[in-house]
Amino acid sequence: MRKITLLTIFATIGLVILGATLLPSYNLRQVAAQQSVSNAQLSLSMLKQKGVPLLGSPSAHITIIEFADFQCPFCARFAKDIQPQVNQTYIQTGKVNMVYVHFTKFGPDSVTAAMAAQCANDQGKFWNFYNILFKNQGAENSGWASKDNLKKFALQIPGLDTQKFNTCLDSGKYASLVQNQLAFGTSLKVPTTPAFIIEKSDGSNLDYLPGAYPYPAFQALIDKKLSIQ
Amino acid sequence: MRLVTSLKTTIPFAFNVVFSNPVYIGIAIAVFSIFWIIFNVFDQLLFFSPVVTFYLPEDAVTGFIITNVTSVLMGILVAMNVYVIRNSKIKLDRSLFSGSILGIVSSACPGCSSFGFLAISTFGGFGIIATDFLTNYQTALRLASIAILLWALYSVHNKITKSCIFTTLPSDKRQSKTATSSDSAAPAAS
Repeated sequence: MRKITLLTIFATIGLVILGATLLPSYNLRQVAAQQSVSNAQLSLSMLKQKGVPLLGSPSAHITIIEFADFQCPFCARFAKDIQPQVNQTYIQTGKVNMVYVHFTKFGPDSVTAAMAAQCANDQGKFWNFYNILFKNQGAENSGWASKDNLKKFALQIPGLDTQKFNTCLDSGKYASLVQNQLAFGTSLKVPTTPAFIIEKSDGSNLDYLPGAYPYPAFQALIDKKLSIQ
Repeated sequence: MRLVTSLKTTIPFAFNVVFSNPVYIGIAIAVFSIFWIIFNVFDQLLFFSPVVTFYLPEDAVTGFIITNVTSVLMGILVAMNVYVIRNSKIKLDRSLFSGSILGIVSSACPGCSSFGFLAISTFGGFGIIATDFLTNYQTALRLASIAILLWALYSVHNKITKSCIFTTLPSDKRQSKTATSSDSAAPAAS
């Protein structure tokens, strides 16, 4: 009897853990099932209409869509360790471009940081701001991404008109854009941050990476897509 | 001080008793492996697709060391608890579960995961506070989990070594009966 109880307890714990591990990929498979519906939605031209910041050549055949939050520690890991390698190998060489979708799930500081990043994007400095924010990431909702701090971070970007940036941030210009992008990610059932969709720029041939996957994973998927072009 | 001196002999003794049987070494290795995989998948260090990859970025080193210690302790503890269950009528130690559950809950970034998203969506502000707490105090919680597991280890080693004392020293039992009634009741109950 005791052995059965013990086995039941361990089996339950095991199933819960297995479920938690597999849930992100399951959710993204659901997205895959809706692929025909989502193709147009996920094309680069449609994404640009949603105001997403673009890195790399607009004419690249492959697009990486990053769903992330500036307060997410794994997103910071991707930004610091993996994105520079992808950027150097594929984006700067014109093979791939990358867009960023705000998936602000972590609370109020995430929204403020996202709005500030969009203000930097107005001046073509989104990716500089992206690097600075992830480099200076603090504890969740501790106030590290307060408006005052974000304005200080903006001072570190050479060539940024801080006056314009501050006015933009104070006006809350991009509050609805950030909300819309969160709704977009939610509609795609993005299960985790960061999450990536690697696709042909017309929104077809999608692959998913739900998490801060290491560089070899990106390399494998991108090379596969490049080889079948 | 006296406790430390006695632990120096009783812990190796308990280990010898349990791990002299290769079955328990096997259980310990299996449990360690399962938890090592789980922790590293949650920590986004180990990936199985599209290519099997393990990588250890700078920000994850501390967490990786702590989860390794937790996995080792889990392996030892589960094996020792299985030994106790099979060889006596003593109940399983609750601290094993609390330590392992805390270890799992505090692993990885709760706010980044589906569970975190679910908590935030379901409980709104409270969900954010809960995931903030788990993320911001992750290292402290993991250390607390190790402390609980160490307590569980102490507790299970006590059960293994105490059961030997009872069977070997009947004269001590008589002596203990002459002591206070509560003192004499305690060993009889255990």
